[in-house]
Amino acid sequence: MNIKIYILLIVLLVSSETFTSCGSSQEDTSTDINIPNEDIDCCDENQEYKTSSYLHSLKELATYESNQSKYVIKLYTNDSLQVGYNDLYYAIEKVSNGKHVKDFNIAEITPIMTMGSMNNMQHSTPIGSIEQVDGVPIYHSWISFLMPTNTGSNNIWSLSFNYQIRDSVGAISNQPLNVKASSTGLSYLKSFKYNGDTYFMSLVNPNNFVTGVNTIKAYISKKSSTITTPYALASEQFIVEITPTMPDMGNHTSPNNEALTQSTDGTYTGKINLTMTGLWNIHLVVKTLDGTIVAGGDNDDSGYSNLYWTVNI
Amino acid sequence: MRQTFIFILSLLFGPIHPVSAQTDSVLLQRNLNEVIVTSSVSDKHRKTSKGNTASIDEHLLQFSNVNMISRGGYAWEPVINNMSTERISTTIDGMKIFYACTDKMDPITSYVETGNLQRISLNSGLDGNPQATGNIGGSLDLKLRRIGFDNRPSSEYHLSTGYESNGNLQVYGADAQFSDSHFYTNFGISFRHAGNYKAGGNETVVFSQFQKTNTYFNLGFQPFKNHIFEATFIYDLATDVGYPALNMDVKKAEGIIGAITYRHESMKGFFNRWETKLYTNRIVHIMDDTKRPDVEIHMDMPGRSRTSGLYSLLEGSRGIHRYKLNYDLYYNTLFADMTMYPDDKPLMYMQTWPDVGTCNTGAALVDDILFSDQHSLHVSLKGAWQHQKIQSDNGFNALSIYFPTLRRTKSDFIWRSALSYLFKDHYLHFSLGVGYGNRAPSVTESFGYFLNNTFDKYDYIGNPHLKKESALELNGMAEWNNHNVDLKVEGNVFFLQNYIIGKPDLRLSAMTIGAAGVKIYQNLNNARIVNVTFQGNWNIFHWLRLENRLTYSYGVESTNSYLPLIAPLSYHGALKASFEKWEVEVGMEAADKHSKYSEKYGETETPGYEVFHFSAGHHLKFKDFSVDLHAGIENVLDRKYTTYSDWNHILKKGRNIFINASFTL
Repeated sequence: MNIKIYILLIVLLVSSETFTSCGSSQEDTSTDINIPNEDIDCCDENQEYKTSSYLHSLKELATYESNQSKYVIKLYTNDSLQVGYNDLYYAIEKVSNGKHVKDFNIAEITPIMTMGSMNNMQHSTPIGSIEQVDGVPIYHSWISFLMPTNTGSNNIWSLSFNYQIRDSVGAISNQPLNVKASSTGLSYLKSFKYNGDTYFMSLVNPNNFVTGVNTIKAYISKKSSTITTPYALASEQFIVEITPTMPDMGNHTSPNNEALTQSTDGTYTGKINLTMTGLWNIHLVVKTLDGTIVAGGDNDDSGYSNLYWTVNI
Repeated sequence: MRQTFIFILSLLFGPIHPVSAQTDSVLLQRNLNEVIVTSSVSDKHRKTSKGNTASIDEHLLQFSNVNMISRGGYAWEPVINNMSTERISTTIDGMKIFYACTDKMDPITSYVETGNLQRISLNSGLDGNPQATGNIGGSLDLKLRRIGFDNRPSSEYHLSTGYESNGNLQVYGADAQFSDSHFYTNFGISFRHAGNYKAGGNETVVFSQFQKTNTYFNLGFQPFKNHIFEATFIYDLATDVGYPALNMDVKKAEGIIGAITYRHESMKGFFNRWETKLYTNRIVHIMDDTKRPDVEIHMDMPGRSRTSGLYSLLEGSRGIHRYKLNYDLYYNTLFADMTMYPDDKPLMYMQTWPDVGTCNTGAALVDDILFSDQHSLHVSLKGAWQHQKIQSDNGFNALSIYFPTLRRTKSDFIWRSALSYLFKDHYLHFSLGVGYGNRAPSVTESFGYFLNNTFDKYDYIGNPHLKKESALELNGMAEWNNHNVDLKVEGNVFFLQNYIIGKPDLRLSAMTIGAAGVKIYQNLNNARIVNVTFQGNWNIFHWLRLENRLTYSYGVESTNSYLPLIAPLSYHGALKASFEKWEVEVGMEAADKHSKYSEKYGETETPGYEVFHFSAGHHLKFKDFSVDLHAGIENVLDRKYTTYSDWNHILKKGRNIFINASFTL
């Protein structure tokens, strides 16, 4: 080729560059600038903020490393673990960037008590279903611990569960949990026997009670035939009549309380009226749906059922 | 037997000698009565024989239709026409003020002292002073002592001191006043202190001590003739007050009262005077159970009452009319709570008055129509709109347990009307009146929460769904007075509808340990109260006067049970001598056995009694100062007795020797 064509090519090249560079230096509003999300595991900024805010109000209980230490599984609760009902929250963070994983599952939550004081006998405890918290990658479940941790007697609670992060699975096994005894005089867990089985009644978060009309929630769980299997919700339906009294005020009681009855999601709800703050005994009379009393039919000196939770509002 | 004795006594004194005229100011309003508080010996107005160191309660007893419910040695609760606090209105110079103790240990009259007042004005029944709201039985207006202007600049100082043997009561007071044509001020301080008193037979009534300090000042400024600005301030503090009838005492009861007034006098035109007052008051009341033995659970029970308001009053006369037009507005909050401390257990807390805010505004019209010297008509009308709100969430939630449909706010329109015709000629004076009106339930009746009544041993809960209580009043009076003998009979009957009183609710559980149960305020179909007074006064000589008064009362409700706290047949009599600068009095007070007591409402029978008193007063005048001396003996025979209105039948004072002196410089 001769030099003319060569120059033409150069001119074409330069002009096309100029044009394209002119074109590219202008604001191109038709297409958003897209920062590629390198991390498909994690939440976007918005969700991350919501997740962190939610967890901010909770107390971190434990941190477990996943296999290959790529992730940490964190366990949260409202305040600290104690005998009776406890809310538990599970969230997973990616180690490399500290952000929360948005896509995971938790299953097979198994708390086990190993009683050094009784020849290392083991048993489990009532648990609830695993549900995702609305709108955030956090899972909620509950455990109602039947007794406290006692390092002196070597009574230790341990927790095991399985997790799945996208397509990789793993398990956390036998991690210790510290469960405190109930505060002196208080009791949020009661049990009864019916047809040869043992049932547990766990009162949900009575620290939320205030003076006035309150919704009261509880779960009734049935001891498993294999006692190291977590105790599921009882399939039998009951009605639990509640009568709150104040033992320090001559057993003053309140009117218009509504018995605990089971809703479709398995929780027992009712209405409890608390006329003032202070110590309250919530007397329980458990009946089957046809009205037969199966527990709490005997009264103590107060004149009310000898089966009762004790709360301090 | 006693009934006959009393009746004969009142008949014994018939008219005999017609003597000199006694000029008494004509009271146009048949229903209005007044007691002069600050006075000198030989003042002819109705007053107490004890002199200037007498307590407000002792002054109130001068009224024929006033009784006092006593819970101890101090702070008695006034009852007018056998109706108490909820059914009467108490104002101080037209200012609304409300007690702060859920157990009524602090009626309004306990927040002022004798030295603050000039007069106590009582209106019987539905015809109240223009600022009174919610009165059915009557209204009290405690009129403050304001010196006023004086064209010749003057000043005066007073010192008073008194002692009473029963309970070692000591009273000290000092005040000063200055006035000229443009400016006046009067201010003072007083102190009253008593230990436990003794009932007849030397029996000490424990926990009946009290102590009270009161200080006040008034200022008046008249920059232009007939334009007057005034300011008033009262501070009253009672501490260590015992209430033998209750299971608690009072650590502190403190009242702060302040007002500024503008008045325009001698106006021309439709109205001849205009007075506007802006005021505020605060009361703090703290109960105390630490001095009592056998307290099951220690409790803190404070209460608070705050009121701010204003009124604007126009008065005028035109032709045969003398009229008043009043507009008032006030806002009051009442709060009381209870914290209980059981040994080693978590504490318990509840609110007994859930921080209720009450806003009330009303207008009143009064007209006295003088047809002639003999015939007149008195008309009185008032209407008020009231809005209340439960401000405390805790209190609202607690009451919602018992009243699931409870709302935060409540509004009522209340009104009252009274009409009376009066006839007066030389010897005869009579009146006939009618009234109709209603009242809204009090804060305790609507929103009270577990208020223990030590009288009937029930815990009371308010009822926010109560209807207004209404009343029809009929009253009449006939008097024959030839200025020597004065015979008078007056009576009234109240027909109440939707009468508010507590009724037991057997489904509910009491809170107070040992209580009999729970009562909730309800509207009873109706109730009837009748009051009749016979008075016979005789000026035996110009220096010797005999006074007699016999009062009969009756109260019943629609189920035909007697109402509680209705007085039995009572008699007051006195022989009064006044000559030179002396006055001497001997008298007696008696009551029949209280047999028409209300068993349904927790009353028990009270035996009858008679007690005698003697007193003497002397006025000494020196060049630069004068002295009023009083001495006397109350319950001369040291009778041990109690009355139907002594809460829990606590005993009244036994023999009491008093002596006091008031110096004027």
